[in-house]
Amino acid sequence: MRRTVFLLVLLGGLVLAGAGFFLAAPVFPTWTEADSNPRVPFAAGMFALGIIVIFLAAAVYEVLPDAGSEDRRPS
Amino acid sequence: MAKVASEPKAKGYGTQLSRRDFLRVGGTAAALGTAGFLVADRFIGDAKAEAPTPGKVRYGMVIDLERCFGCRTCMEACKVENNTTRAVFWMYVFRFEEGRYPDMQVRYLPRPCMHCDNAPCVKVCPVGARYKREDGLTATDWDRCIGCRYCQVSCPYSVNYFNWKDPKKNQYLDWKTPEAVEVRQATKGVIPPYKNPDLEERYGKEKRYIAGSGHVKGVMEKCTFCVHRVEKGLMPACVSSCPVGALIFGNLNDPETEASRLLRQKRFFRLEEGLGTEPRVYYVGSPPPGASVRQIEGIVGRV
Amino acid sequence: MDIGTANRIPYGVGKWGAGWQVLVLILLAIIALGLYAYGQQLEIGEAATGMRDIGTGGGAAWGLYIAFLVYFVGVSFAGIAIASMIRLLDLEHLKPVARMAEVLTIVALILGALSILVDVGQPLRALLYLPRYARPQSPFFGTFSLVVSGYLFASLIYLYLDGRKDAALCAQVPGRLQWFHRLWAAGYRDTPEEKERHRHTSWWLALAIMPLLVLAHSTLGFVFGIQPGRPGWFSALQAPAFVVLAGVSGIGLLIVIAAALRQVLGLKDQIGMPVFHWLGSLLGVMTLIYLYFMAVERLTVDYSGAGLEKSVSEVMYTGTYAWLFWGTVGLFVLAVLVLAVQFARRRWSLPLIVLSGVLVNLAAIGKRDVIVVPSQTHGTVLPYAPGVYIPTWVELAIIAGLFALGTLVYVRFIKVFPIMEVSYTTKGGAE
Repeated sequence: MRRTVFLLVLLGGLVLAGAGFFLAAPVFPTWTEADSNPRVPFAAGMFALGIIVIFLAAAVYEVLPDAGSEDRRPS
Repeated sequence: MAKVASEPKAKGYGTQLSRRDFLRVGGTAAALGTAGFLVADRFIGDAKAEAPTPGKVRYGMVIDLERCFGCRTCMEACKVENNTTRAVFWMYVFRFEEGRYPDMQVRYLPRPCMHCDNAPCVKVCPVGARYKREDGLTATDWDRCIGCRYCQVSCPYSVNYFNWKDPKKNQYLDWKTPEAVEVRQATKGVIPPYKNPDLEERYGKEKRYIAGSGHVKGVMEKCTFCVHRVEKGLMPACVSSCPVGALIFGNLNDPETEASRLLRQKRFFRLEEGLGTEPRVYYVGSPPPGASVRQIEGIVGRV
Repeated sequence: MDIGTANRIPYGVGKWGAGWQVLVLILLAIIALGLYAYGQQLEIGEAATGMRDIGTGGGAAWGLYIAFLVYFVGVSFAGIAIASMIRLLDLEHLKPVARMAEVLTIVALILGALSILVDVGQPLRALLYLPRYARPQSPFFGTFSLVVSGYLFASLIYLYLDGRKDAALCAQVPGRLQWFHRLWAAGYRDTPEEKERHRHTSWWLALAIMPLLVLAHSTLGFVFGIQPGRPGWFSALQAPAFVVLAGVSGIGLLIVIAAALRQVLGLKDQIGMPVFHWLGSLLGVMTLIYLYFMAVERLTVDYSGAGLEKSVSEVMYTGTYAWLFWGTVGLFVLAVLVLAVQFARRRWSLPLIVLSGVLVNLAAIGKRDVIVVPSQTHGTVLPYAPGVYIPTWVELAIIAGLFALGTLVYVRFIKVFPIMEVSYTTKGGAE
């Protein structure tokens, strides 16, 4: 279960970052007004968030308990 | 335990490759390489402007250096029309001297914004406040600008100006003096000396705030080719006010405009063409200034 | 797992002594001054600084704020790079300084982000419009999304995960901070399985952070290097040189911090001289590499005698900025000599190593200014009159305030969480 969640989070982050990058303003514009605007608002924020989520996946991988593990004693 | 006898490996470049191995490895490499090239080619585009297509408007300016005599009326007209604040010179006229006495020459060079087709300022703006319009104007959206001044440091021609102060406190007149108040009352709210109401509007297909100077503290601005006049079919203020007609503005895609005609008939140069910025301001009537020109009566405007 | 016989958290955590409180008061005073200066800047506008328009404005549009932005982000490089390398290359002897390095990275990145906000003319717009409109074509996009968001967060995660074990240990000690340590530990149990999982995760995390690091610093170099219109900036060396100088200044500052903490917290046993030898040698090598880069850059520019570059070079070698340029070069060379002498005689002295750390940081600050300013005041492509840039008290106060803020966050952190791995307290205890 932990591995699945980790992979989902990682994939989610990659998708978010990829989408954010490609939905932002074109990297090689053809010089029209539209080239100065992102294709989707907050696309850049999505990209940054995607990168954040990718690294969050590491925390997920380490911190989430395995399914069916023993009781968590307070440490 | 018996030692497994094996062929001693050839020293140097490794074992001999069998033909099949070679084809396998080589074929894979070639296929990957081609695939990589195709993928990369898709993404590595040409960042220059599209070639002008006939029928599309592409504005440009032609400056006749034979006629210009450095009166700087264009600088004044630009100031009045665009309400530029102190120490801001969207249009600037260089007065140069060249050579050594007695073989001296004095020359003048008006310098508006070049409205480059491959503008470095457009490329580096982090939020797309500086953008290129389809009609060739390079516009600055003062509603979106965050004031990072990246366009300013990247412009080779240094045509950008930043609102270092609250623009209302940086005008030439103190608008709070009794005389100013009187004039304001008499002219029904048009603040002296002349606040151009057109500058507050949105312009262009994209409906963005791109006209005029001194709207907001902490944002960038520069020559707009008087977009608020051009969209009404008028000439920019500098062009209209030049007493000798040294500045010519027009649609360079239309072969019948005076600007296009001049470019066909005369030799022209553009400033710093080697940098690849593709400026849209052409100079005719004189060879380009050499590297040894010295500015005289140069303006250093301190805010 | 017990925390030693005294049942208290080591390294001064939770002990707010008089000296510390005085330090905090001084830092708060400097921060207050910085805030006042920033208030002035918001009210007057950036005319309160020494920056002015390039060209007819006779000034430089980018000044100390941008120089320190680059400096802070540069310093942050070394912190997380050292921590990652310790993990990836199993550099056991450097482990005592790993957490100090990680915290340095985080604090430096926060200061870098604040430097940007302080510099832009419309900070509120920047906060909203950068996530909304940022364009990948602009090098600043990398600064905003990779450096400030991606890499800062990656470092925070790294610190968090690395600290869970110690947090679990500290959470055994009752006190005001117990809730914080419990939260951080998030149910960590020191089983071999969890240890292995942590080792595995941090290894991959460290590996993932390294390319992000190089990319982030390179985009910062690209901010300057891709501009043909600015003589003195347009160079392929900018991106790699930024990465190297980042390493130099970061390692130097880490040496200073490690030595200071060693002194103040009494860690002479835990942080031995081998740590400083290693860091000192690395610092010496990297500074030499940076001097090499500087020499290559200067030679390339000066050999051809190209006019625009020449005027920028002239003003740096013999003109208004000569004191800054030669001072910077001198500080780098002095630092290398101080380190080389120790290396050659195989006798390392901590004060000298710390001195070299201080020297390279001063030199890095100077070099960042040398990069930023002369190309604007004396590097205009069209023949404008040369400009002038003299920072005002507003800029200096704000920057002092930023340094004070960073120091405050750092010393506060030391008091709420052990700045070194706790297992070092137990002599011969389990690692």
